[in-house]
Order: sequence, then structure tokens, then C-alpha cells
Amino acid sequence: MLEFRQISKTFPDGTKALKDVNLTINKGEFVVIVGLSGAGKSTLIRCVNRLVEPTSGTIWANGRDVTKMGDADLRRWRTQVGMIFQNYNLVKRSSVLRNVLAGRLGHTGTLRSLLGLFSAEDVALAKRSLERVGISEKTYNRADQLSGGQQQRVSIARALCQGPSIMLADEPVASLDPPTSHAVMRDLKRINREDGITTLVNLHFIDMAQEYADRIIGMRAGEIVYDGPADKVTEQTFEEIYGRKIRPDDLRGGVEE
Amino acid sequence: MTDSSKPKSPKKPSFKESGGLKSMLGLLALILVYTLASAHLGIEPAKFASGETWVQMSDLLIRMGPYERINTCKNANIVWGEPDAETEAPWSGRTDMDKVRAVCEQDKTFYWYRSDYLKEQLAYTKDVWGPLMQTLRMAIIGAFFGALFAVPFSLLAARNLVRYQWVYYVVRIVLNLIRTIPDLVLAAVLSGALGLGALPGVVALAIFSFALIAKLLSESIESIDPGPLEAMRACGANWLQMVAYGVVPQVLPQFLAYWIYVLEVDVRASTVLGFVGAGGIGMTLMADLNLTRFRNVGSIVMIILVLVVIMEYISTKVRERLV
Repeated sequence: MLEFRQISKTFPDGTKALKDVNLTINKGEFVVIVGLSGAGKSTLIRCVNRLVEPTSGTIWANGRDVTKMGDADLRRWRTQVGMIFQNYNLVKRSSVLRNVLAGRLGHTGTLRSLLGLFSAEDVALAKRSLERVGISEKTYNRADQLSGGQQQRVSIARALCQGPSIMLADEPVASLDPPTSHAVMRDLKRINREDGITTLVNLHFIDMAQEYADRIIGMRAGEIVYDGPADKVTEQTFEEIYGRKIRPDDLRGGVEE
Repeated sequence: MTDSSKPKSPKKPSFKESGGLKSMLGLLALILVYTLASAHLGIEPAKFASGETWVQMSDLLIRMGPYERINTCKNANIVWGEPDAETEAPWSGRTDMDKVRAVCEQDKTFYWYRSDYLKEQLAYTKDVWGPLMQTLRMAIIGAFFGALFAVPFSLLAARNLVRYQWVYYVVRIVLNLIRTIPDLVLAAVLSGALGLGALPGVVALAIFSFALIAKLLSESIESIDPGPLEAMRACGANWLQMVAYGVVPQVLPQFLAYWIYVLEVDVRASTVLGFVGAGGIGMTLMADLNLTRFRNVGSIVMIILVLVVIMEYISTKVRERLV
């Protein structure tokens, strides 16, 4: 269980990205956070692993306050939180395997990792993670030889390799075409179901949110304006969240099969 | 493009709209800056217009080639003799050489082609082979140690990797300080402290390469893609792991390219370092210059040119492979 209590974030330039957000995420839920860009979605999920430091408030996870953790504790906490990004954030010049193994860095001693001495179990886990996202044949390729969708899968494999209990995804499909977007979302959903990993995904495509989410959270101007199960959400709800009419570019479309 | 493709052709933009005014102002500013900068530098265009400058420069160039300069004297028979009483006064307190030159009232200068030039200079090349190899070895060792020490410092001089801003500023200031010391001064001081020979040269080159690589590398590090670093931070990686997995793969090609570049610069620099007694071919070059053996000077310049061209070729090839 993950609990946000009165989380606020004000950036140095005075932007109030989050305003007293209270939120409880249950274990194993697949939550999609929707909202226009600038609504505070990215800031919210980055508060979970403190890539963004909240200005005030607390985040409780497994009975511990994430916001009060020291350096070592924070790193240990981060190993439990997988994260995937809009731009994949792979090291392009490194091999796919090395990118995935980077997910094990938090579990590996500094000296061992600097020498590249990952344990046999870690390597096996990395390869298994790649198999699970269906790109094991690319294991030894350089990351920049892969297509966007394949790169995003490598980054999912990297997050999986951490053995996380929570998965964060910040606009994971914004740089992908519609069919690939759906494939990536299906991977995330499958992993969520199979491993029971709590998943928080930022999206701005309302059709995808409806299709994959268990629960939808709507954000506008740093506040949560909607929170409810995905099947109760209508176009009307999205118009309230977005504060405007739904436009064609709010839909990803292109469901294959 | 024809006019028909643009049905509503807009009217011709005015001078101001087309940016003509801006260009004119820019040109005026350029002229102003140039005028101000060249004031009080003692640059006299007339000096270049006079034949004297060109004669002296071409004289030097010719003597660096297979020619020897011969000056004939009108009154050659008194060259080595005592000066006349009437001309003695101005020379008092000068050396014998001055007397000789003054007595030898120059009649005509001509250049004598040395037919044994090639043989002579090939023999000379064999003589300078040792110092040349010493120069190369000095450059390799200097660049190696410079690069070695530059790596940790460049990490601390990269804004995106340093957690505490003051560390960044302190390291930057130290690097700037080191870079401000001219390599020649460094070598002169070191050869005073460590004695003549290759050691002060190597140390001077190492320090010089260190500052150069640290500067270039820290700037490369600052321009890397921050995404992978964020991803690694999110994986729970510590700082050293982030550097090893996120930074190193991204800057490795540039690092190797800088290393090779610095090696090339070091070869050039070490020739000059010899002037202040820091070993290598520079010491030979200095001796030849002092003794006005210009043919030898010419040969050394050619040898260094060949060496630098070879190194540039290798460095281009290696850089092509890396990037």
C-alpha cells in the first residue's frame, strides 16, 4: 500500500506542481493518472521514488515514511520501485543486456558493479526479464539499434530486473505509434497481473486509460479532480478533468487485432 | 521559385525589414572593435610593405633549405684585421664579431646550393632520431598520466554530476589556474627544480594534458543525455555506479578522441619545451638555432611535420572507428 498525505511540491521558480495531494494506492492496483501536460502527473509519480523531493507532506509505504529516508535507505527503497520513462532513458551505446543489468545496480556492491561482475543469477534474471517482454533475441545488440517500441521494452525489462513491488511509468507510450503503444501497455498490464506489481502509469490518452486501468485518477493544476474505477469513467468525466472538450489527439486509437 | 507559385506576392521588404539595417550596424560594430583592438599595439602596416621584412623572412626560409648564404666583401682583406682609427670609436666595448661584421662592408649576398644537402641531412636525421623518439615517448607518457588524472577531476568539474555546487566551483577554479600557467613557464620552472632532461618535460606535459583533457571532458560530460542517469538513480544506483554505467559509455569515444588529440598537441608542445631544457628534440632544435645552422633547423621542422601528419592520420582513423 502506498499512501500520499498532503503532498505538496513547489518548484524553485514558484510553480506549484502539487497542492496537498492525498491519495491511497492499494497493492496490486493498475492505476492510470490522466491529465493535461503540466497538471502535475510526472511530479506526483516522481515523488514516489523521490526523483522529485516533495516540499511538504509524507508518503507512507510498508509502514515507513519515504520522505524521511536517508541516502542508503532511499537507495534501498528505490530498488523496490521500477520506473520507465517516455524517452526510454537507455544508455544508447551500451548493449541491451548491460542496460537491463543496470537494474540490478542497487542490489550489487559498488566494486563488483564497477568491474562488471554481476552474479550468474543476476544475468539469468536479466535474460528472463528480456524474454518476458519478448525481445530476448536482441540481448547482445546495442540499444541504439532497436526501434522505439523495442527500446521501451528493454526499459521495462530493466525495471523488472530490479524485482520491484511498485512500477512507475511516466508517459511510457507518448513517443510510440499506436500499435506499439498498445503492445507496451499490454506488457505492463500482464506484468501487473502476473507479479502483482502495483503499477502507476501517467497517460494523456483517454481511450488507453479506459482500456487498461483498474482505477483512473484525474489531475488538473496540481490537484486530484477525479478518482474512481475505470469502468465508471465516461467521456463526460474526462471533459471535467481536462476542463475542455475532448479532441481527437486525446485518443491514441489504433487497437490492433 | 517563380512568382506564379506565390499568388499573393508580398511587397518588397524595406531595408529595415530585410535586416539590412542590422547587418550595417553589425559591420560598423566590427570595424569599431577592430580599430579599438589594434590601437597601441604598434602594428605598422608600412613595416610589411617595406621590402626589408620580406627579404629577411625569405632569407631565413632559403637557408632552411639546401642553400648556404655567402656574403662577399668589398674589403675582404681587412676582415680579420684591426679596424681603422677613424672607425674605431663606435665599436669600443663590443666583441670581435661585431668588428668583423662592421668591417666587412657587405657588397653582395648570394646563395650557394649545397649539392651534398640530401646526404648531409639524411645523416643528420640519424643524429636526431634519438631526441625525436625521446620527444615522442615524452608526449605518450605525459598524455597518459594527464588523461589518468583528468578523469576524476572532470567528473568533479561537471555541473550535472556534482551534488554540492562549491565542489564544482573549486575544481573549476583550480583547473583554470593550471591552464593559465603557460606550458613553457611550467617546463622552465620544473627543469630548474628537477634538472635538465626528459623528466621535467614529461611532468610539464602531464600537467598541461591534464588541464586540457579535464576541461574538454568535463564539458562533454555536461552535455550527455541526462535520461540514463535519472533511470539509474531510480534503480537505486549510487554515484559511482551512475558514473560507470551512465556516464562512461556516453563519453568514452570523446574521451579517447581527446586523448589522441592531446597526444598530438603534446608532440608539438614538447618540441618547444626543449628550449627551456626539458629534453627531446627541442633541445637539438635550440642548439641549431643558436648556432645558426639553419639547414638543420629546416630538417628538424620537416621531421616534426612528418611525425605530426602521421599522428593526425592515426588519430583521424581511430576517431572514425570510435564514434
